[in-house]
Amino acid sequence: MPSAPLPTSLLVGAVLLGLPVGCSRKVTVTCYSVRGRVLSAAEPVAEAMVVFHPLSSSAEAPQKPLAYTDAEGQFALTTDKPNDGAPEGEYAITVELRAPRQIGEETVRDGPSQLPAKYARPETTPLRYRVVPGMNDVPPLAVGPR
Amino acid sequence: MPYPRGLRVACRRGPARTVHGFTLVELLVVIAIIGLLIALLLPAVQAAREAARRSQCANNLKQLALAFHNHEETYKQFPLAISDPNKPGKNNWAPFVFPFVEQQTLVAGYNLTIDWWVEPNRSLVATQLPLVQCPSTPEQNRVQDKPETTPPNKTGACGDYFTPAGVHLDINQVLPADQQLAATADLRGVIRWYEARNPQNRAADVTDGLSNSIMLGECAGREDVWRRGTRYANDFTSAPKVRARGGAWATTDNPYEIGQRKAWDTAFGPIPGQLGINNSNEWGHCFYAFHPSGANFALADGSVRFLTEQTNLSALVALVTRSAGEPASGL
Repeated sequence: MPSAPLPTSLLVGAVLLGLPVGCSRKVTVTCYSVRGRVLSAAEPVAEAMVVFHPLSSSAEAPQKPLAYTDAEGQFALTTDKPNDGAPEGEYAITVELRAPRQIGEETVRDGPSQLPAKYARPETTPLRYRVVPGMNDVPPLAVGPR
Repeated sequence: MPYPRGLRVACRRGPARTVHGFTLVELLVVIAIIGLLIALLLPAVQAAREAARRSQCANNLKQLALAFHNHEETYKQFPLAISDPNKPGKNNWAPFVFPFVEQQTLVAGYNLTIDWWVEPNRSLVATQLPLVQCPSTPEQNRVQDKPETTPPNKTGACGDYFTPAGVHLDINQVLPADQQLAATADLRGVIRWYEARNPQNRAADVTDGLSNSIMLGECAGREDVWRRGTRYANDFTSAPKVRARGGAWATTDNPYEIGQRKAWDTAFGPIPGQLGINNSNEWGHCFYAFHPSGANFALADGSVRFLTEQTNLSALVALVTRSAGEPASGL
């Protein structure tokens, strides 16, 4: 039968094509590096939690980009891989400096935020940023007096 | 029956016998066939071994869950995740339930009013207990040895199981927009720690149903950090420091609320990857086991379930909370 090889090769091709699709567990989004700094009265805020809340549909990712500031108040966002940044789009930025609290044997920053409350909620925060393809250097985020 | 040529030559008797033994090609073919058979069988053998380990792990969780129930039977309440902070002695649930799982000899000398890392408890906590170890964890018999500014170090043998104390609201960073948790939601777990509103854990508090609530889960491999199968060795001296907090089986760092993405040392970076089963064993994140594709869980009714990595996060939240009014379904 001359027609036999064609369906067979099609079947093999379909299986080979289907494999990578079946193995990819999650939908991944393209992220762009996002770096910035958190300041309060011109002083750097260390150990603050910075979360980018998507406002546009292009920014929707399986989880919100997140970062913690270092001693100089600097941060680099992580969405899926370390310091990978955030997907392209418009974001509302929340900044919290949670009060230290004892949990188990350690003090964890898990109490109420020590920064003005409006910065803690995506509905009330005045901080906005649009992530664009390429490197993103967010202008310093001023989070008001403590 | 025709013999291979070489063999027939070897068997021939008489003075004409000249050649015997196998040719190189024949030997190579035989070796190749044996190699092929081993290659075919090895994965099956490994899978069978892992199945045995998983079943041993499920049995450990079953024993522990029954111990919690025997405790409840005796005291009309489950133990607290962490001993009451208003009373002396920092200990987690483990020494409270061990007398109910035939570990009386181990805890006979244990003083529950003394911190776990202080004698006489210190030398007992050094005991490696197969009961709290998952056999699938690559490194068995680990020891937590956390340096303290005032000695002694917090030192103890490690376990692979923990009691989820509830769900942290930070999980909203990961939940889809239409499944966000309200700030007022009751996110306490079955085995909760002491709070003014939660002086004890009673079976009656599990209003979502004992069969719909997780009591024990796996967080294996602590204090080494594991992120999606990659090991970062426990390190208290380098920068950043590396630690999956809560290794020792008696430490009050053992229980945590799931849903957080913060490393023990912030400089180690936020926990990457998609929050869910088997993403990271770091404190506050989620559940972590070394079983391929999922982890074992003991539910509050004493049954043991295997949940896959694909388990919907909202369903997992519903399973961890004990009285949020959403008995988990469709699992």
